[in-house]
Amino acid sequence: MLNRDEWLPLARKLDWDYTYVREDEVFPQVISGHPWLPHSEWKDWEESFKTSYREYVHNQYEKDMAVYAVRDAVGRLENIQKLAAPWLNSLKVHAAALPLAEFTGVIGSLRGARFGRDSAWRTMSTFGALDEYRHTQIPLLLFHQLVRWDSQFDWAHKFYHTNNWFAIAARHFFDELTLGQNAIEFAIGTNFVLETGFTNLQFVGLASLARESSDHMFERMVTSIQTDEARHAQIGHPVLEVLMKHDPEYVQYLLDKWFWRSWRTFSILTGVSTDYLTALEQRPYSFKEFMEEWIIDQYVRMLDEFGLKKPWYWNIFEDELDIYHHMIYASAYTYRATLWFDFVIPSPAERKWLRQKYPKYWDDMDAVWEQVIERWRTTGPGAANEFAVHGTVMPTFCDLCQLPLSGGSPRKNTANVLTRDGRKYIFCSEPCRWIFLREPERYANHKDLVKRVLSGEAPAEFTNLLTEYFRLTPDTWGKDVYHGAYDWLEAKKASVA
Amino acid sequence: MAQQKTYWHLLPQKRMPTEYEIVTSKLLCYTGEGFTGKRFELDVPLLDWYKRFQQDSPLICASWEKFRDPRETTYTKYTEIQRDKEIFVDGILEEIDSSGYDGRLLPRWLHVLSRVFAPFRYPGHGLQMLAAYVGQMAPGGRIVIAATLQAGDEMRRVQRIAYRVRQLQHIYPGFASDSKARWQTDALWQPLRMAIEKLLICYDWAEAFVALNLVLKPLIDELFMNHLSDLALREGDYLLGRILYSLNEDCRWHREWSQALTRMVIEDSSHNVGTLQGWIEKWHPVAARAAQAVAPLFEGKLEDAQMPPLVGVAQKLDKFYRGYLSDMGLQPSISGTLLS
Ligand SMILES: [Fe+2]
Ligand SMILES: [Fe+2]
Ligand SMILES: [Zn+2]
Repeated sequence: MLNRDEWLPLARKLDWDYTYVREDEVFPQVISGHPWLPHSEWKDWEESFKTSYREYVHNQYEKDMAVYAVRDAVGRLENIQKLAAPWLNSLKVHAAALPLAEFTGVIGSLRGARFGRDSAWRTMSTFGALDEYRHTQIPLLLFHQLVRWDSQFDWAHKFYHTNNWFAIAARHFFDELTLGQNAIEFAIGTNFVLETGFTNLQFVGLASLARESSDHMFERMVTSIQTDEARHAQIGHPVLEVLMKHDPEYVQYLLDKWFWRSWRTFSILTGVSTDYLTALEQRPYSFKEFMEEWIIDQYVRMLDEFGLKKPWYWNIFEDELDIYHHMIYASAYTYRATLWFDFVIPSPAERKWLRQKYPKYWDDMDAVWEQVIERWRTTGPGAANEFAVHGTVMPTFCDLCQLPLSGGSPRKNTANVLTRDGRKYIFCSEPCRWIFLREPERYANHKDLVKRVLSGEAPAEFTNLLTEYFRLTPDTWGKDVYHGAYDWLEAKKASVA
Repeated sequence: MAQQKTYWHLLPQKRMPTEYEIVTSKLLCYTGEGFTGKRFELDVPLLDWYKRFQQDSPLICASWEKFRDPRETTYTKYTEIQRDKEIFVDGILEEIDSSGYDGRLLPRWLHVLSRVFAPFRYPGHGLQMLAAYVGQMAPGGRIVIAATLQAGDEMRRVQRIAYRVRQLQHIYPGFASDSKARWQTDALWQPLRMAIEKLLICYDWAEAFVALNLVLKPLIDELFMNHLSDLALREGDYLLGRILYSLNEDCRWHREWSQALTRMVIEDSSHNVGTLQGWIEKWHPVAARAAQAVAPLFEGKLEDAQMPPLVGVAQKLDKFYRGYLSDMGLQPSISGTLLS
């Protein structure tokens, strides 16, 4: 066979000069993105790792076969049932967040495949769309077998089809990042920031957590998926190169915005898995250590490479590394019945570990857990007492990220308000406010959960909210894995379990 | 409580779902067909675009979720099928290299290859873009998937032509180096280029689907993958015939899923027949002109490549297209019919 380098050039560059229609009609700015430039500015667009269709179908078929072989060997229900309870719940978080979000990635990639400004870009995005179809399919198939054992795994498909508060936040993120986005912002937000910048969280971080937890099925799946991500993520670089020549200020904005929004998402997904839902003896590192070693250095190097600056909120971000996902986890525990997976209280040994890893704020966090534990001590353990150790007042959500206001620390909340056109908005953090103000036309009309309850769109009564709006059931809503029965937690009165 | 045996949305089927159903059902949450009934959470940049070109499309259906790809193509199945096809084509390409095949091609046929075969990479890429458009705008997940795979197939065709062109360049330096210029100026290509360019700015998702998969592609694919293959066979290029046969298998599937989707919408609402027929009326003449411009090739009237005609191509194409549409209860435009 001919070497790929010999013939591929004849298939990569296939743009032509339109004469029956105008170029700006074929690539309208609203869907191809800003800045609008004639093709002459894009003609040297080049991906760094080239591939061909022929190699693609060969490799991808082999990769799928390898994943299914691992499933057949160690990914059966009986293997999964042996995994530790906290890890299983980490699995439920990722099972829900992943597959349908990947499918929005199909749409975003197709946008690049049609409205990307050079044929080589469009062809790489076509591979990307095929990849994202794969990433939808593998988890849906693997988790399907677990539904009959534990109906919380139903959320692998159900999650995005609910109005669960976290699903609202996730849709708010992916609708803007992928589904409703133009080709240029998709390439920067998804290909560059999320897939290049944060990819190691999944590729290295999540995979090693799964390995340590003996979940070889999930480890293999994540690793296999990330090899695709690494290929189509490279679309971002050459797009960014062209943009830098024409509107570096806009590039800086897009990066800063999507870094912040991605950080919010991953600090929850991966942060909680790393520091809470993986057994202590299986934690290879803290989430913060991992971010510092595998994400931040590389991201800052990429920024340097393009002559870009660190985001203006870098100090805020570094401060959040010590606290944000702890705040989210504690508040999610407090409202665990609003979610589709179960929680654990960090044990004394884990709290010692957390104090050592997060010395800056752990004392404040520890006090929060002390209250939770005290509450369980008072009620005694048992499923019947779940709601006695549970929040009752609906939390407030950020008008940008749609997550509960968890910025800052228990001592000093960073929530801030804004009045605009007679409407009041609240944000969890300065960067969320800044993003909102830069493009309010995108965000201002959104109704958060509290407003939906106030307007009668969502039920006000808590159980109705859980069942009708969040689509949970007494079986599936989140609980304490042990219903407060920890061997280190001594009840003040006899157990009612 | 009874055990839940499958995902929530497949429970009403009251049977174990197939693998295809598990991995392709209800994948879109923003079309109003998701459980929440909602569209986008926020005012995304393409909010109006989706409203105009998807929500307000004249083609209607109570549920786009009902669509099923007749081949039930999961990702794994796709890579398996396509891998096998590529192995088949690899075998032919290797045979060409090892047998000195290209040295024996007729000069007049080489001319045809450089003028008619090599430039097809350009419209081929246009067809890839068009499939990607239908895919991103389709209101149902399974339609998204079918169109995505079709875009992949179009890429395959472009790359196989590119490979073949490079092989010929090894024996005939400079072969087909004028492909882009041909595509942009040769009279043979201009009506097709016009059709593709016009289609690129046709943004109603359903009209784009109809113009592409019910009009332009059936005609152009049949002409270039089937009739050109007949001509190749007669001109002694039997191996090209086999390559085109393999590529035509992809096109056949594009027609099959398109028919399945079309039948579904007609069944859903008879009102759709008029809409579909209207778009065929609009696009068939455009596509027919594109096909007609290639007629001199089959009529033996290509200057620089005098050869006997291939009899009856226009009639066959006409009959083929009429049959394709009538299978769905539709008919070609009178002004698009080649024989008149
Ligand atoms: Fe993906
Ligand atoms: Fe991706
Ligand atoms: Zn926020």
